[in-house]
Amino acid sequence: MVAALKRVAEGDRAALQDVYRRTSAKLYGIALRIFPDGDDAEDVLQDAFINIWQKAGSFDPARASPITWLVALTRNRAIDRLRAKGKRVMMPLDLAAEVADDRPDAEQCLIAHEADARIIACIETLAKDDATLIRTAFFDGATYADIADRASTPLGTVKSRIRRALIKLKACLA
Amino acid sequence: MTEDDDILAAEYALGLLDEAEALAVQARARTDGPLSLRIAWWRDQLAPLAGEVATPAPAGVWKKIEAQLPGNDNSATLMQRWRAAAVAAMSVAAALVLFITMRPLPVPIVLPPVPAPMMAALAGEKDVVAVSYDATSGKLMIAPTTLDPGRGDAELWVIPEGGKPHSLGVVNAKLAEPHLVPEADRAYILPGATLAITQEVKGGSVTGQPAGPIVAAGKIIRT
Repeated sequence: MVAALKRVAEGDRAALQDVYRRTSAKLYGIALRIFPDGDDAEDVLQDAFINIWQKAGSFDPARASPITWLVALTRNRAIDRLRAKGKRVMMPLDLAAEVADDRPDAEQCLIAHEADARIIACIETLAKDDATLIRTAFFDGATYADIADRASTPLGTVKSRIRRALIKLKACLA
Repeated sequence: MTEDDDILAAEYALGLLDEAEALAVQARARTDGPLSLRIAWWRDQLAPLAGEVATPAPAGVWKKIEAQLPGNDNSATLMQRWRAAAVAAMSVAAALVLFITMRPLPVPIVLPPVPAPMMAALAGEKDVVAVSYDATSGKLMIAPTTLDPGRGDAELWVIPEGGKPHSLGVVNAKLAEPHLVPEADRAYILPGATLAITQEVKGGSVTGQPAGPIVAAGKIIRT
């Protein structure tokens, strides 16, 4: 993929199509989470690939993996579009009070998942609602404020809860 | 790295921060290497989540993308973009010409022709880059800009009216250094030609023609 992006940077359209074939499903999926109606998601996907065409030259393989860069680029396009429309994903979030931690430990989850999907295994070690919060941030492009609104929970509570979850994820991912 | 900064990197990568906070982190990351790398690390860790939602894109989207890319003949469509950028600057030049011709002509005194210094105001998205050029010495001076070529380089081009872009080389977008234009290229730098800066890969465009986006452009005029 690094080689493909390098060729895209040199103006090779076949290389861009190659990247499209290999990643459009993932990137479209991301766009759909933020724009479930499909039309906007399609526009986001188009915008993302035009962006990839223009910016492939600035992708630095030493700093990020290609899929990370592509996912981040697509999410950014989607979030920009969302904010430009003055919209936010509004579905309410129903968070139970924190339950005692009876989640499987990281090792059990890692055995069940491939090594390179560590994040999925690690998220599964979190309390169910904390996992929901992390996924909501990632997929819906939700900010702390968005989540606090949707969960009808004070901003401070949401922040400390998510930060605690991030610290746990950090330890698990290390 | 402090734990606070590590979590901040995670919050940024996840998109939890509001616009103002996110812009502040972005600005910090430009000069804070460890923070920038940590943000990249978090993004890397989170990326596999995308696999959970993969949905095949509808048919026909690729065709739409392809139709919006510059044509196969890069120079043809790039010329269109140059012209569009130059038109913006033309109004300034046109106004100046009008002003000069409206003044009463003095009695002509014959003097040996001395090339007058030239200048250009390159209009970008947010900034105007002032460029001055001295034809006798071949020195081109770009005023310090806020342009940030990021991991790539800023390349300067001169486009003669109706002609193809001609590279003047990679320039330092941040410092006001005089850039000595090679003799062979000086003939292209004339009033009426357009100067433009593009964002290229490190070392400049490999194709000999602009490959990256134009960040600023403007017509050359005599001062």
